Amino acid sequence: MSAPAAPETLEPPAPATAATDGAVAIKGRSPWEIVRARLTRDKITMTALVFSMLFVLIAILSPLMVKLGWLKPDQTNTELVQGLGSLPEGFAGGMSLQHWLGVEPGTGRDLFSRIITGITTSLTVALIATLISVLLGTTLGIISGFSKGRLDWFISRFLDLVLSFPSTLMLLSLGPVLVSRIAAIMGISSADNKAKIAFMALVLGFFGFPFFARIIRGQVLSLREREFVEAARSLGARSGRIYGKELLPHLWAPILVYTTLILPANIAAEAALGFLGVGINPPTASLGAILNDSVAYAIPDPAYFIFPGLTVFFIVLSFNLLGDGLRDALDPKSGRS
Amino acid sequence: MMRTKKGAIGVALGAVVALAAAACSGGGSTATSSSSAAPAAAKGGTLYMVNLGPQEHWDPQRVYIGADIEFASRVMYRTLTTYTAGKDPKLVPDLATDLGTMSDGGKTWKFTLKDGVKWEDGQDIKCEDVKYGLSRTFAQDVITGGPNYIIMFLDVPTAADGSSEYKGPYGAKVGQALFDKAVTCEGKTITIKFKTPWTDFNNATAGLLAYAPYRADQDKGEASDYAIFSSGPYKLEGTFDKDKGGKFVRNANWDEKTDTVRKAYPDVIQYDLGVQGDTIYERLLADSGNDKFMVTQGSAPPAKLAQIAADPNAAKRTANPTSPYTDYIQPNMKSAVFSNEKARQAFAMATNKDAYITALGGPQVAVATNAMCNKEVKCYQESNPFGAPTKGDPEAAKKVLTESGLPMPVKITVVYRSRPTSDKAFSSLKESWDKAGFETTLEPLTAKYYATIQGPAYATKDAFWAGWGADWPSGSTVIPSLFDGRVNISAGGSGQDYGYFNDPEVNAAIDKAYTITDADAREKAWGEIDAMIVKKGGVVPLINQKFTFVYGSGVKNFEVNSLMGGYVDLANIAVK
Repeated sequence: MSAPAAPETLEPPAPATAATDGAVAIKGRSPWEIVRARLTRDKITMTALVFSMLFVLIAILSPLMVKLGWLKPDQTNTELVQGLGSLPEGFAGGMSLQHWLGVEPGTGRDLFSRIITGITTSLTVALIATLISVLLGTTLGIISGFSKGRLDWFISRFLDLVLSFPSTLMLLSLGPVLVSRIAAIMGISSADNKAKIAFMALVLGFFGFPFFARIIRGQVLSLREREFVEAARSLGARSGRIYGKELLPHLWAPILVYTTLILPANIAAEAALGFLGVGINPPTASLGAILNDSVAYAIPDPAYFIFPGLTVFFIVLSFNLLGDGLRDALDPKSGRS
Repeated sequence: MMRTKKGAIGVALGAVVALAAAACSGGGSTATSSSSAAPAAAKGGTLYMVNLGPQEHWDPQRVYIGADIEFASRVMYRTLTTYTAGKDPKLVPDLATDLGTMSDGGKTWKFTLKDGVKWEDGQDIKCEDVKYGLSRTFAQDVITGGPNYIIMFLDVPTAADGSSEYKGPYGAKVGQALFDKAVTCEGKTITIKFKTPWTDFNNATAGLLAYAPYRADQDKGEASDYAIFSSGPYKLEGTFDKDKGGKFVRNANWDEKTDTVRKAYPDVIQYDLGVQGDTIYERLLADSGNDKFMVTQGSAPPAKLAQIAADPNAAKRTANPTSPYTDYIQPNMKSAVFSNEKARQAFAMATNKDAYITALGGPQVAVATNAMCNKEVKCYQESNPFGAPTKGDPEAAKKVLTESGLPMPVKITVVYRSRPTSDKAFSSLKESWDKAGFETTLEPLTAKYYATIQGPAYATKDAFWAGWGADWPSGSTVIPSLFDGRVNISAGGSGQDYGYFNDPEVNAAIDKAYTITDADAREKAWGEIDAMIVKKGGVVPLINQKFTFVYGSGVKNFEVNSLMGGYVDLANIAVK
C-alpha cells in the first residue's frame, strides 16, 4: 500500500469483457476505490463486516433496550430454577418464548438479555483497550522508527521489556490495588464498574501496544528513506511535521488492519479476565463472567454453556475475518491472496 | 471460629481468629449421618482423602479450619478430651483419664493423663508435653492463625496493649515464670488456672487442637508446621507437601487399648491435595479403581447436584448433613446509612433469603435462618422480630425505609467475598434491596477477604457478608466473638465485629451470660442475646449451610460428625 503511484492500476477488469465491451472507458481509480472494489468482491470479508457492524450496533443499543424494558438482564426469576442444584427446568436450559436462550442457573435471569448486555461491556473494554494500544503504538512506533540511534534503542528496549512482562499474572495479583488507585484518581468508589472497565482497558491496552509499535516502526524504517521524506527534511521540515503530514498518511492502512486484528484479541482477553475472576462487578454482565460461570454447568446444563461460548466465538471470528480481509485488500502482497 | 474448607464448597466461609469465650457444656445436637448400614468392617487397605488444598497448617496450635481439625484429631493428634463418632457424638476422655475436674467456679481445671499413651517414637506423652503445647500459642509472632482463647483466659497478666506478658517458649522466653505459675505439672496431672471462669474448657479441648500436647524437642517453630509428630493411630511417612499432600501409615506406638474412639481400620491414609472440586466429584461419580476408596471434605459443587441425584449408584453414596456454619450480613453501624435503625430494619426486611439459597444451589445447599446460632447448636432460638418472610417483604421494607428520613433511593455499598455462586446470590439480594428503595452497589473482593474488611479503609462501607461456625457447641463462641465491640474494635479496625456493633445493652447481657453457671440456662441466655442483636438490626442472618458429600463405593462406616465441623469422621471408617 505504500506505493500509491503506478502498479495498483494493473488490477485488471476481466480481459474478456474488456475485449467485447469496448465502450467502457478505462477510468483511473484512486487507491481507496481499488480497495473498496476488492473488498466488495470478497464475500467472506463482507459477511464479516456485516456481522461486526451488527455486534457494534448491539453494543451501542443494548443500554437503550434495557431502559425500554425489552431486555431484563438483572431480573431474577427464581421460580424457573427450582431443579436440583438450582438448575433451570424445561428444554435446553429453560428456553421459552420469554427466554429465547433459556435462563441462568441459580437466579433465573434471562440468558439472552445477559449475553446482549455482556457484549456491550466486553466491546467497550476491548474498544478502549484497542484505542489505547493504537495511540500509544503509533506514536512510539513513528518516533522510534524515524529517530535513528539512542532514542530508537531506548524505545525498542522498552517495548521488549513490556513484551516480556507476565501481564496475566500482573492483572491477577495487582488487580485489586490498581482498581482502587484508578477509582481514587477518577474520584469514584472502587466498587464502581467504571473503575474496573478503565482498569481492564488500561492494562489490556498497555500490554497490547508493543506489537503495534513494532509494526509501525518497521513501516517507518522503510518510509523514512523514501524521497518525499528526504525532500521534506532537506526543505527543513521539523520532525513533528514529518511525523504528522508525511509519515502518518502512509500508515493508515497498517493501522486500520492491525486495529481490526487487535480488537478481537482484546475481546478474547476480556473474556479470559472475566473467566479468571478479575472482571466486571456483578450484577453487570460481561461475556467473560458468563463464560466463567457456565463452565461448571457444561454437563448438567449445556445450553447455558454453549450460547455464551458461541457468542464469543462469532464476535472474535467476525472481527478477525474482517481484519484479514482488510489486510488483503490494502496490501495484496501479504496474506492469503 | 472454625473455617470451612476452601475450594469445592459453593460458599466457603471463614474468618480470622476468635477472641472471646466462656460458657456451657455443649453436645445437644445430633449428627446427621448416612452410614451405609455397616457390613462388618475389617482392618487393612488404603483410604484416599482428596481435597483441593493447599494445606494451610498442620501445626496443632495453628490449625483452625474445621475440616483439618476433624481429620487431624482422628489421624494424628490426640487431645485431652474428644467427641465420639457416630449419630450422637458425646464428650469423652481421650489422653486424659476423665473429662477433667473443674473447681473454683471454672477458674481451675485438672486433667490426669492415661498410662501407656505414647508419641510415635515410643516415648510417653507427659504432662510437660501438654503444658508445652499450651505455651506455644503465646508466641504470637510464630504460632499464627490458631485460636487465641488461651491468651484471653489463662491466668497470666496482660500488658497495657492487651497482649500477654508471656511471649511464648521461644528465644528469651519472656514471662515464662508467669506461665509456669498458671500451668503446673504434678506427675501425670496438669493443673490449669484461668483469670475468668471457663466452664466448658473440656469442650474446647475436644473441639480444637490448640490444647493438644507438643514435644518441646520436636519444635522448630515455623519450620515444623508440616512436620507432623503423631500421638494418634497414624504417622506421616516421608514429608507433607502443602500443595500435594502426604501419606499416613500406622503408628506402631499407638495403643488401641488406650483409645476408645479411634478404630483405625485402614492401614494407610493417602492424603492428596491439588484436585479441583469438579474433578473430585467427577471421579467419585465414576467410582473406578482407587477412587472406590475415596472421601473428600469438599462439598459437592451445586452444578453437580443434579448429576449426583440422577445417578442411582451415586445417590446411595451421598450424605447431606447440616454444617455448623452460618452466613450473615452485618450492616455497618458506622456508615451514614446504617447508623439509622430504621434503615437497618428495612434492609433486614427486604433481604430475600430464598433467592440467596436458590443462587447457592437450592434447599440441598442451605436453609434460611433468623439467628446467628446455628440450628444445630443449643443456643439457637426461633425469632423473627420484623415479621418478614424468608423471601423478604420489599413493600413493607420500603415503608420503614421512608420513615428513616433518608433521601430515597438510599445508596448503599455491600461488600462480599467473590465466588461464582455468591456473585449470583448477591445479584439476587441486590434486586430485593433495590425494590425496597435502596440503590445497591456490590463490591466483591477476591483475595484476603476478612483481612480487608476488618481494616479502617473499609469502615465506610455499608454492609459486609461473613460466615461463622461455633468452635465448640456453645453460644459463647458465637455471640461475644462477633458482637462484643469491646473485645473486637480497636484503632486497627473492627476485629471480627465487622459492622462495628457495640451496644451497651448487648454488652451488659454478654457479661451476665458468662456468669450463669447452669449450662442450659446459659445457652438460653446466648440465644436471647442473639435475638436481641437481630432485633436491633445489628446483623441479618442468612442461612445455615448444608454439605453434600459423595464417597467411594468401597468406603464403609461413612459418618459425619456434627460437633467437629460436619465433615467425614475417620474414627470408624473402613475400606475392607
